[in-house]
Parts: sequence; C-alpha cells; structure tokens
Amino acid sequence: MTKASFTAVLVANRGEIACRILRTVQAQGMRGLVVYHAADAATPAIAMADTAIEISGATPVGAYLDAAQIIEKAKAAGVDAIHPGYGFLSENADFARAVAEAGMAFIGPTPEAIELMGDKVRARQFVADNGFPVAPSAIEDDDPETFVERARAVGAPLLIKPSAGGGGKGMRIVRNLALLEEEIERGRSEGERYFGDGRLYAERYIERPRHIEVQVLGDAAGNVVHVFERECSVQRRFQKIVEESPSPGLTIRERANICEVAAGIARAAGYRNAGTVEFIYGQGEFFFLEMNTRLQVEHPVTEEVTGIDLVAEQLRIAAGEPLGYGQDAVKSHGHAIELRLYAEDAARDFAPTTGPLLAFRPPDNARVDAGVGEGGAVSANFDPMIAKVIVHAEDRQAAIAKAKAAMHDFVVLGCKTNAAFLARLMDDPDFVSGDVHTGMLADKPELAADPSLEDATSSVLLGAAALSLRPVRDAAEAVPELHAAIGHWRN
Amino acid sequence: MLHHLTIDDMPHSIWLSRSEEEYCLHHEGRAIPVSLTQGTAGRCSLCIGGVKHPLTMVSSGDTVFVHFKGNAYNIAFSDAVTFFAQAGGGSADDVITAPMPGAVVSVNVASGDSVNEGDVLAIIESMKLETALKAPRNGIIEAVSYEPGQTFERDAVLVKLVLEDD
Amino acid sequence: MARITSTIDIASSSYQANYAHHTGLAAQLHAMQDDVRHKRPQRDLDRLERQDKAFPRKRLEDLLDPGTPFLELSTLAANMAYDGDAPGAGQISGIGIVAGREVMIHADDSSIKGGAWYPLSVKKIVRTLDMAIENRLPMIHLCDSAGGYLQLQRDLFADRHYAGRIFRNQSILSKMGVPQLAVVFGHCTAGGAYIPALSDYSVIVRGTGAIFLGGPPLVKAATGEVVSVEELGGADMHTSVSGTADYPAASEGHAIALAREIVGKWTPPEKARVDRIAPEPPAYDARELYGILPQDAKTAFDMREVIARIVDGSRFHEYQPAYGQTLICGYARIHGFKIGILANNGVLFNDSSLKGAHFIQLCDKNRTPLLFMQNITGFMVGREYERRGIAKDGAKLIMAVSGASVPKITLNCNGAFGAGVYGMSGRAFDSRFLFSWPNSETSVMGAEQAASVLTQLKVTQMEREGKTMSEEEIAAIRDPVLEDYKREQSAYYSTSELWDDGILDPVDTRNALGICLSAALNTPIAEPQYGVFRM
Repeated sequence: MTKASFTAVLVANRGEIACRILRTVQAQGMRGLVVYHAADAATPAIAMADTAIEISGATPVGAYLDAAQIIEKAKAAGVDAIHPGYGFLSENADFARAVAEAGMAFIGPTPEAIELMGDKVRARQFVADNGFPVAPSAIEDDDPETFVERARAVGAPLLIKPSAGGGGKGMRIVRNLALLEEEIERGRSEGERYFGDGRLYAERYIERPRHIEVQVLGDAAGNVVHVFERECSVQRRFQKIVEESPSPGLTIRERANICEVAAGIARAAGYRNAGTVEFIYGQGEFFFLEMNTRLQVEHPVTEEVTGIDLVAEQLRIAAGEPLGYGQDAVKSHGHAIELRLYAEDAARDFAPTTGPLLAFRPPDNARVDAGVGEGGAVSANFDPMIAKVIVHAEDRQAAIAKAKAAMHDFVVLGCKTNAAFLARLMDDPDFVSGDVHTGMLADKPELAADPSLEDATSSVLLGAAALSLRPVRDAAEAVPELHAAIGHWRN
Repeated sequence: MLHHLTIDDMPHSIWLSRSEEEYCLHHEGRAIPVSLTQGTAGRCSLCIGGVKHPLTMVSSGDTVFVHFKGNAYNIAFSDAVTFFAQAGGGSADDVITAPMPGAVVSVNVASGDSVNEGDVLAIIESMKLETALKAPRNGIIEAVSYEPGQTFERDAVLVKLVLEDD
Repeated sequence: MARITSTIDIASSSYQANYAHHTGLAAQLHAMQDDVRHKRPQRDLDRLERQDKAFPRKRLEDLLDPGTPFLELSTLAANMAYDGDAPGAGQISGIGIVAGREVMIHADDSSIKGGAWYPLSVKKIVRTLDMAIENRLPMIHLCDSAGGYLQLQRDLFADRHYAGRIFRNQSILSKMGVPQLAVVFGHCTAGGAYIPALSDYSVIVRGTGAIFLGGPPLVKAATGEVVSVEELGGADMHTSVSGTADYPAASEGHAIALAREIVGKWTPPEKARVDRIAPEPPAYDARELYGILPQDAKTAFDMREVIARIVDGSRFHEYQPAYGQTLICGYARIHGFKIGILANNGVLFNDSSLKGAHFIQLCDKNRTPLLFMQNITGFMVGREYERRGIAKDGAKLIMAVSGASVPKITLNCNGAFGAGVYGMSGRAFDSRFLFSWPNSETSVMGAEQAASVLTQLKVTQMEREGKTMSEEEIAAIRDPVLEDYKREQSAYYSTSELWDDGILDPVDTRNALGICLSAALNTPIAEPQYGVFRM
C-alpha cells in the first residue's frame, strides 16, 4: 500500500458508487467525505463517510448537479480532492476546471480531455484522424453530387438515415447495393414527409452488434496502459445490465487488437486518469463509438480479473504519481461477471419500481456494491439501480453458475427487483454460449415475462401469507373448536 | 366467504382453518395442512402438506413479502368489504392513477375544468419517457393531486374526475 | 366408561338386506334434498340472472365461513304440500358459522315463486325464530321475497303462530339481547318490510334491494302517486333518508362482506357450563347403522347398537341396566359433550317409565343435556298394567320430560307411536331440536292397528244394527284408512308439516347433534323445577 495521496477526499456522488469510492479512500488512510441531499440521509454512504455534508436543491438530482454549491461546501470542509463518481458532474469540464481553480484536485481527466471526448463529432473525427477505426459513413451535405458513390463505398449492409431525423423514422437498411439508389429515393421522400428535409446520411450497419469497451489508465507523464476489455452487450432500454470480462466474443488476436487500439486512442489524446473506450463490434470488425472520461459503473469487473483497484489508481494519478508499471504488468485472470440489480419490473417493460427495503440481504460468495441497506427505501428520485453483484471464477461457466447462485440468494423484499430475471438470464442458452448482442433482450421478450406460478409455489406463498396475516389468522381462530373440528359439512 | 389475496397482482381466494395438526389452507378446492416455524429476521420454515420449505418473509401492513426459491413475491390482502366496494362501486374511470413511478412534467388542467374524452390532462415523465395522461371520458376535474416537478409512486391518484352535470 | 361391544354380524344376510334398504332410503333422501336445493325451471334461473341476483344457495355459501359445517333444518318442508310448488317451503334455514359466530340463518329462496311466503313458509320462519329464541342464536335474515302468497292468506295471516309471529319473535329475540341482521337482496314488501326494520342491523343492496309497506303498483292504486322502486324504498333512500336500513352495498358480494364484518363485531355469548372433554370418534362406523335398522318398524333390534355408532368412543355408562330394560338410560358423550340418553328398547312398562322419570331428574340436577332416541310403539296396555298404574307412571315420565330444565334433543330413530311420543319428548314437549331418520314413522297408532280399530268399530256398529259386512265392504273402509295412515305417518309427511326440524341421514346424526348441543348451550340452564309427580 502506498502512502496516502490526499488528506481528505470528497465524493460528489451518492448511492453505491459513493460507498465504493469511500471504501478505497478510507482504506488508504484518507478522510472520506460525502455530500448528500436530505432524500439520501438514511443511505449507507452517509453512515460510512467520516463527514457527510448536506446539500440542497429544487430537486434531489438538482442538488447533486449544483457544482458551485458542492465546491463551496468542499472548500469549507477543507478537502483537497473531489471524486465525482459517474453521472452527475463526472463528465462536466467546467466542474473539473472549477475544482482545480478552487485549489482542489479533480479526480479524473483534464477538462480538455473531457471536452474533446464529450463532443461526439469531434471525438469521432479525432479518432479517425489518428488512424483508428470509426464506422464508415457518408454525409450527403459534404458533397451532394458524390453522395451515392460515397455511400456505395461504405459497403453493405448500410443504414440510411435522414439527417434531420430521429426516432427511427425514415431509416432504411440496405443489404443489396443494387437497390441503393432506390432506397435512397425512398429515404429522401420519407425524410421530406416526416421532417420536411430530405437530406440523408449513410453509415455501415452492424448486424447483431456487440458493445465492447476497454478500460484504460493514463498518468500525467503520458504513460498509458489498457486494463483489458469488458463485454457489455446485454442491455435493455439501451442500458447495460450484465457486464463481463473477458468478452466471450473475441478471439485472442481480436482482443489484443481492440485493447491496443483503445490504449492508442488514449495515448493520442494524452489521456490522464481512468477512462473507457467504447466500441461497436460485429462480423469481425470493430469501430470506435465514444470514450467515457470517468469511472464506469461496471469497473468492478475489471478489478476482479486484474486485481487492480481502479479507484486507488485514480487517486494516485490525480495526486500526480506515475503509473509505475507497464502494460506487461497488467494481467487478466479468470472470468468476472457483474449483474446490475435494478428496482424494476422486468415483466412490465422494465418499468422502475419503488418501495421500502424491508429486507436487503446480499448473498455471500459475491462482491456486492450496494448503495442502499435494509430499512432504507427506493424512491422515484434517482436512478433505480440499487446494487451490483460481481462474481469472479476460474472460467466463464463457473462465473455464470456463481452469478446465478448469487441472484438466487439475494433477498430483497418490499420493492420489486430484477433479481429473478437476471437469474433466468444466466440460464439463457444464448447467454451461456456467449452469443450475445445489444438487441438480444429485445429479441427475447419471453425472458422478461414472469414465469407462471406453479400451483405448489402458490400454495407455499399463500400458506405463508395466511399464517402471518392477522385478519386471516384471526378468522381461523374465531371459529369455535367444535365447528373447526367438523370442518366443511352439509347434511 | 373466502379471503381475497393477490400474488404479484394475480388474484387468489383462500381460507385458513384450524385443524388437528395446526392449520389448514383452503385453496382451489383443496385443503392442505400448513404450519409455520419462525426464525430470526424473517427467516422461517413453512411446512405444507408435510414438506418443509425455507423462506424469508416480512410484512408491511396487510402486505406480506416472501423470498422463496430465488424469487421475491408480494402477497397483498384486501379486506372483503374494501374488495367488493371497489369491485362493485364507483367507476374506475373516475380516478387516473400513475402507471409507474415518475415525476410530473406539466399539468394542463385545474380543478373545476371541463374536459372531453382524450384531452391531455398532464404530462408525466418516467423511465426517461414522457407520457401524456388523457381524460378517459368527458367530465369535470375534481382534483389534481400533483404539481410539476413532484414525484409519485405507482398507482398514485394523479387526477380525479366527476361526471358533468346535465 | 366401557365401550359398547357390538354383536352385529355384518356378514349376515339380514344385515346385508337392511344395509341395502337403508342406503337406498338415504340416497332417496339426498336426491330429494338435491332437487329441493337446485332443481329449478330454467325461466326462474333466467329471471334471477336478469335481475342481477345470485342463486340464494350461493349467497348462503358466501356468507358462511369456509371449512365449517352448516346444519340445514327442515330441508324437505312442504315437500308433500301445494303439489310440490314450494320445495323447502321456499325458505332456507340452518345453523352455521359466520365470522366465527354461531348463528341461525333464514333465507328467502327467491328462485322459488319469487320467494313468496306460503303457509308452511311462515311456519318454517316462525320455527326458525323459535329455535333462535330458545337457543339464543343470533339471526341473519337474507331477504328476497315477493311477500305472502295471497291465495292462501287464510292459512298464513291471522292466527297466533302465523305471519305476525315472525315479527313478534324478532322483537322478543331483540329484547333478549340476541343480535339480528337482515341483508336485503331483493324486495321486502308489506309485512316483509318489518324483517329488516326489526333487525338490529341491516344491509341493503343498491339497485336490487328495496323495502316498502306498499310497492309502486299498490301506491298507484291507493293514492295515484307514481313512484319508482328506488325512490320508494331503494338502498340510498333508506340508508340516507329514512334510516330504515343501515348500510348501502354496491353489490351482493359487498353486502355479504359487510354482513360478515357486522357479525364479527358481535360478542360471542357465554356458553352454559357443562361437562365437556376432547371429542373422540365412535369406535364403530356410522354406516353400519344402515344394516342395524330393520326394514320393518315392527322388527325389534338393540338400540345399544345404534348408540354405539353415534357416541364418542362408543362408550356408554348404562344406568339401572337390570331394571326397566325396555328403556335404556345412561351417560355418553357426543363431540365431547356429556349427555344423558333415553332410548326405547321395547314398549314402555311401569318400571321403564319410572326409571326414565328418575334418570331425567338425575340429568337435570347434574346439568346434563338429554337425548331422546325414539323407537316406541307406546305404553303397555291391558288390565294388569292399568291396575299397576301405567297411566300414573307414564304421567311421571311426561311430568319429568316437560319439567326438565336442561336442553333436550329428540331423534326419531324408527317409530314414535301413541302416548309413547309424549313420554319420549315429542314435538309438543319443546325439545330444542327434533330430527327424524328417513325410515321413521309417527302417528297416534300404527297404520294397520288404526285400520283395524276403525274397521272393528264399523263392524260392531253394523252388528248392533243386525247387519253383516262383506269382505269387500270391510276392505272399502279399511284400505283408505290404511293408505292415509301410511302416507301421513311417514317421516316425509312429518317433515313436510314441520313436525320435526328435518330428516337426517343416520350417518349425519352425530355431527348434527354436536352442532345442536353447542347451540343449545348459548342459553343459561335454569334450576331444576318440576310440577307434582303423581306418586
């Protein structure tokens, strides 16, 4: 263990990630502080922090987005660094700048890196200019005369979208280039009909794409390593719910390649601190999507396979320390899977749920990063993710078995969660074989449906409920002994 | 008259009677002996038809939450008078309830307003999606329970309607 | 207490023949009951559906606690009256458990002539209320009646125990502090309006329930006023304006749920303290009763064999086993309740009458309810017995039966004839409950005996006039008498006329008695007190 990087670190976040960061901060002998809105007063992060500072806002979310207030309170508390977690202010360059101006360290990349990667068009151009793969595309506006030829050059399959569009309207997939001109005409006419604008945009269409991302670390001296990839293809509503490492879909060569490309992009950007380069992968090709300039929700997967505490690395780097090791020192061992426990009803189109956490009993034999505890509650104020369950095993099959057992044993009562859905997912043949893609759950609505209750299960539940519900039990007790003994009888 | 319960919103009718063993559960025309051994912190063992099942159970009001074989269930009891009053009385159209938890984005009507079927009464936001709440029939707004920015739980009564006087 | 050792040979041909005969009778009973309960012309069922009303039996089942017994009373009332137009007299009555309370239920069966009250309907309702009064049973009335059957008003309106008695009984029950609830599902017109009005609590179903002294047609005829049912006597008017009814209900289910909640607020009565221990089933199968009872009422059999198949553990402590042996007396238990049993094992003689009178007094002093098991052809007649004072000894038995303060229950197991009926607590002697078995008969004397007595009188009269009668002439007198007696002494006739509280399948007897004993103990048992015994 190295010496403490800072004296006091404030976590400008809430929930599980606040707890996660505080854990490392405190383990390294630093004081851990946290800001909180009154709605979070009873959460574990507040109990865990050495000091908890109340912040206010028009809405609870608004409080956590209030950069000025947080910086002011942090200064008053005498902290020397702020960790933004993920979400909220984590990718806000102005905040990063303001923290530095206030004389504190921002635990994250430079404001410039945040700005570069925060602008999706600039980021894409930057990556392409540096010779890394981005999805081939053709923009009609660039040169309307050559649009058809340029679109043909992108190659099939091809996706044509109205430039002014959104919501999937006017989008056409072209699998046969012979039909390209015809499809462009139709797309143009639909664009005009829907948006009053017929200009088009064409890009490579990836069938059954995988979402693969690579964790990178860079120090102030320009040393960059990748910390291997994470497969995050299992998504619902465009949000990841299962992440794992290594990806079951890459060959050894592809894996090395994608990780090197990620490290190369970070190196080209002079990237400092922890970041994640996201790719879309399909049919042996992968293309840059975007770079997230923060700690990811799913970072524990990487920690489990590499043994690296990413938060500790963030602290060190922010304090100006060098990485101190090269790529060869970063090893991946075994297989890790993270399942995101959401307060939601999978069977009702993953609608969020709320309720008191009358019981919250994480399983043994798994790492559980939770932001709530028994006696707490899930409200509609924040994102409904309440915990992450991370398992690590020798191989993927063993990890799946552990993940399934962990979901099976995770007792959450009072608020419906997706635990049972995730356990079912661990049994899905496509998931088990590693044949996943981002549209997988949309293609399998039956997986989200509640399985019909077996009579025997209904009887157990009703029996248990009957015996613990006073009105039901009282009604039984009220019947005189003689009549209860005779039971149902008609003459 | 049987007791009315739901398991995750699915209705069930049951009765519990005393028996020589302890109790008998009456369900779907069958009577099965049941007994419950309570452990600590909601852990208990239900013996039904001679077979023991470990489970975790907590109660809140007239709702019982059970974790059994990896699944969490919500078993809600509704007393018979309330059950039948709701089943038989008043039109369900009189109240507009939240289909899921969320926040109110905007409210287009106020108490006393006359509305026609299909009129947008309010916009709510849930799961990053905005949904328009429309009047299920013609009527007068009796009450609007939330203001923009306020959050609500599932099944919260958002707007109440009364019949228009002729 | 020693068990009765049965000496029945279930392999014997007589047992087998008896068994076949009595299971046949039981099957016939159940078939008749099933028809009374469920067989209705389709148009009557359609009418209920059109009116959005449930079948009355469903209301009853919904009202009762599941998994509990319901002892239905007088199931076959009026089965031999009105050409069978009023099965069960159009009424349902019985003792059941509602919200854990023992209650007496009376329901109009609106699937029969719209629930109209025939004379025997009135008799059944009055008897139901009588039982409620005697046993302090809270009452629930499920009201849905078209009103009195006007064509037969002569036999249901004016007399002491006719319709007015229903309302008098309701008032008395209330005076005694026994709660009463009416649930108004349909119309309660004219006198019927007083059932909810006289009940402590009432629930009325919106849309179908109505209460009024005169319905809309009568109001129009009387005053010319045109008024709707809802305005005149609907749920909202009565629960918000007149205060005639208490709780409006949105549906029948809602009404029943409200009723159950109201009954659940009634404090269960303190039971009279009697000796009771944990129950024990009989050691012998009750179905063997079918093989024990003879096919002909005149055939003798040992009533101990019957007792053995009804009482707990078949245990019986016989009192004076060697004296007056034609009347078996002794202690046993039914569902744990200690009872004193008097069972006929032959004609009543002087000694058996004295033994019975003595035993009744023992039980009365000992706070032990009495069960009379009738199997009696009468008191012994003849010079020798009159000289010994058979009438005087019989009077002692009747005095004891009449005066006993403990609850009495009577069961006609086989036959109940002549003055023996008085000695064995017949209908006139206010047993709390009186049941018959399907094979049993009751009349002043046996059919053949009566036919021969009446024929003999005629023959003697003709002889005094110097005439002789031919065999045909004698038969012309004897045969109609025989036929009438046979018809009118059958259990089905008795039960049709409400001379009993219903016919029981013998195998149901033990449970029925348990339910009756429990109900009977709602009433405190008075101190023993008797009139003058002729010594």
